[in-house]
Amino acid sequence: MDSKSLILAEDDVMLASLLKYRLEKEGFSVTLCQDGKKVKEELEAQLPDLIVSDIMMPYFSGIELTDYLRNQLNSQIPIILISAASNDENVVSAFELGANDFISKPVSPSELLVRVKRELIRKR
Amino acid sequence: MSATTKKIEAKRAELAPVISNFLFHTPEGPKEEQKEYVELKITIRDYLKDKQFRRVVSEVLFDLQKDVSGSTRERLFKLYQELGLHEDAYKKLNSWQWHKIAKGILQLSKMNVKDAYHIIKRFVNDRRSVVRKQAELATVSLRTEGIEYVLDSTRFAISEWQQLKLIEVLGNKEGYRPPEFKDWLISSNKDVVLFALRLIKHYNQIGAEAAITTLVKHKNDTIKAAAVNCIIDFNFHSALPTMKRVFWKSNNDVKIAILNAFAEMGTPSDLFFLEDVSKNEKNFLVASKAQSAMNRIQPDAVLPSKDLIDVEEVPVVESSTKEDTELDFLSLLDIAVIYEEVLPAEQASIEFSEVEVYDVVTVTEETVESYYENHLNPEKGLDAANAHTMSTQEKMDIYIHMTQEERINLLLELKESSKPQDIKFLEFIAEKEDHSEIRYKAFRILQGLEKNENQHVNGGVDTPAVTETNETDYTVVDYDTIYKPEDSVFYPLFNYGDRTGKVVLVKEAGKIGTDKEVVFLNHLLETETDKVLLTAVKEALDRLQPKPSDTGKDESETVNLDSIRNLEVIVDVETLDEHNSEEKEEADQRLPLELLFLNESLEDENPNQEEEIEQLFSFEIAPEYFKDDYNKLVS
Repeated sequence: MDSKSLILAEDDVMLASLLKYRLEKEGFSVTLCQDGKKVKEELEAQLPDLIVSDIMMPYFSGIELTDYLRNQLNSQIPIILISAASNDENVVSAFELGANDFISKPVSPSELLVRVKRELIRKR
Repeated sequence: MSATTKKIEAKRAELAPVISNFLFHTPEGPKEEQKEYVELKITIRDYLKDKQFRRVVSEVLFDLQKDVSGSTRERLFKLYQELGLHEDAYKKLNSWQWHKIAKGILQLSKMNVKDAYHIIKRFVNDRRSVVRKQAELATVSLRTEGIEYVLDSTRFAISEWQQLKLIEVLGNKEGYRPPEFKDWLISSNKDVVLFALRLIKHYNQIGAEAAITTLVKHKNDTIKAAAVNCIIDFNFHSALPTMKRVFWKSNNDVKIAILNAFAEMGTPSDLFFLEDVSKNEKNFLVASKAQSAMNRIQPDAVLPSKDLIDVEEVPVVESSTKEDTELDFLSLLDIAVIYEEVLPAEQASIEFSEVEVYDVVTVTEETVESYYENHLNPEKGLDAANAHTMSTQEKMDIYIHMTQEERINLLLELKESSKPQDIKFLEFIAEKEDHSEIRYKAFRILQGLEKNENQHVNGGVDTPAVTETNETDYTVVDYDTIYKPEDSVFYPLFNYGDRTGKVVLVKEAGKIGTDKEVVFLNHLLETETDKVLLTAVKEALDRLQPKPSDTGKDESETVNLDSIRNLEVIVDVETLDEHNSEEKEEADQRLPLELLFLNESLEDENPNQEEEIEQLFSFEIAPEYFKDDYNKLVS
């Protein structure tokens, strides 16, 4: 079975490393990006099967990333957003722009894994 | 970024996969993974001998616990203690520097080192506020009974911010079952009492009613106000009398809180207390709050009374409550009087001269009063006794202003003593009345009146009410003295006709005849012997002679049939006649088809229900039905 490719956009090295480790252990091919600019470069190079992105990131926020993906690239790749605070406005904006799911910190890696799998099943 | 920070960041990046490996290691994994895990453990134990490295690992784990939850977080706590990093935090507690102690307490509580509870709780009464506050939070966080220990033992004040933080810590505890916080309402520490009240409200512990009510009598006004607010939240009505007693011994804040309580929970019986407060309270805010509470309990209990200009009271014209489309003449009179009072006489005249129908210009108070006294005086009223002396219009004018009960009473009286001059009035009621029962009663009285009149005309037994009539009584004119049989145009033709021709002529005379034909037909009645011809003559006479019961049933039919009953020639007619008479009697008692529904609403007036049900399904048949049959038989 081909492993699914994911982009994990998270500026906190420790958390990013932890989540990457957990996802790779489940067989996903994870590309780690520490800011929005690198995510954009990765997207221009090749589109992944799913994106997990923190909302608060340098250069390019998770909401801007969603907008870029949906309106500029016209891509329907599933996006799961992570935010430190469950700010209602952020959540509403994210869903309005086309985010598929939302998860607030503190993140349970097991929960994130379940959500990633669910979105990939939906995509099929 | 400084060199040290850069160094630390590099260490963090280096440590990240190691820690991830530790956190997600499973003993069931492949051998290679197990081998890698053991090697990592040996390596990290060597690193941990370095104090700097221990500090970095400790900070990394401390930061990470904020971002992860669930089983990963639990593994993180376990790793923290396995690596012996909690020993460093314990050491900090022995420091003489307050910030190191606070940091040590924070690390131990955040990394959920439960064994540290007994050590940390000793700092709850530390004289250094930062240490004390951190210790309170850690004590509450580490164990369920921590909050009870804090409330029991703290001798210092607990700020509102600290109270909220402690409630937040309690809220984060999974499956937390709070104790009965009313037990701390008797604490000597006023802040503990206030915190207990806050916790009671937060956890909605309504079992503390008596304790909270008692706190209204507390000498401390802050506790008093908090207790009152708690009472409002829980809607403890039983506390209102206590609040009344303590009101005058409280400060303004408590007074306002108490008045808010009365506004929320007060009843009209509390208005006396509130009125007393509004009159005797010197503080404007408190007095105003009392009036506001009065208005909340009873709207418009207190109306604005200051800075109002003097304005004469103007009577307000009440709108007519009549449902029918008739103009309420009395209301128009009232309007006219008010206009004459408010406007100059000339102006009023100009306004009302435009109203042609009522000629309101001439209406004055005197005329209105005289109208009331002479015609519509409510005291004079309308009853069966004076109804006969009034005109129908007067009766109708009074009737439309009567209540439903008065109308029923009037009709009950009229039922006993109605006279023919009441017929128009009764017809008015039967036609215009909205209430079905009253309409039905009027109809029945009308029916009785008409029956009595017909009996009178046909020589029946007259009731006194009907024989006294002078309005609808009619005089039987003796035409025989005015005309002769020869005066009729049918007379010469009759003498030349055969039997069939004579019958036809008599029928025609009945149809188009005048008074002359009446004389002619009476003459035939006396002179002719042919029974068939006589029958035709009687029929023609019945058609020509007018009867007072034209609007109702043709009672002349009874007369004809009575005379015909003696004839032996037409045997079937006798049977028909008997049947017809019986039907007529029944029909007099029956309702017309369109009013049959009224039987349902008048069950009390129909004690014999079975008969009524029979009548419901035996519809009235007009006498003409039998008359036609009879004519067919005769012809």
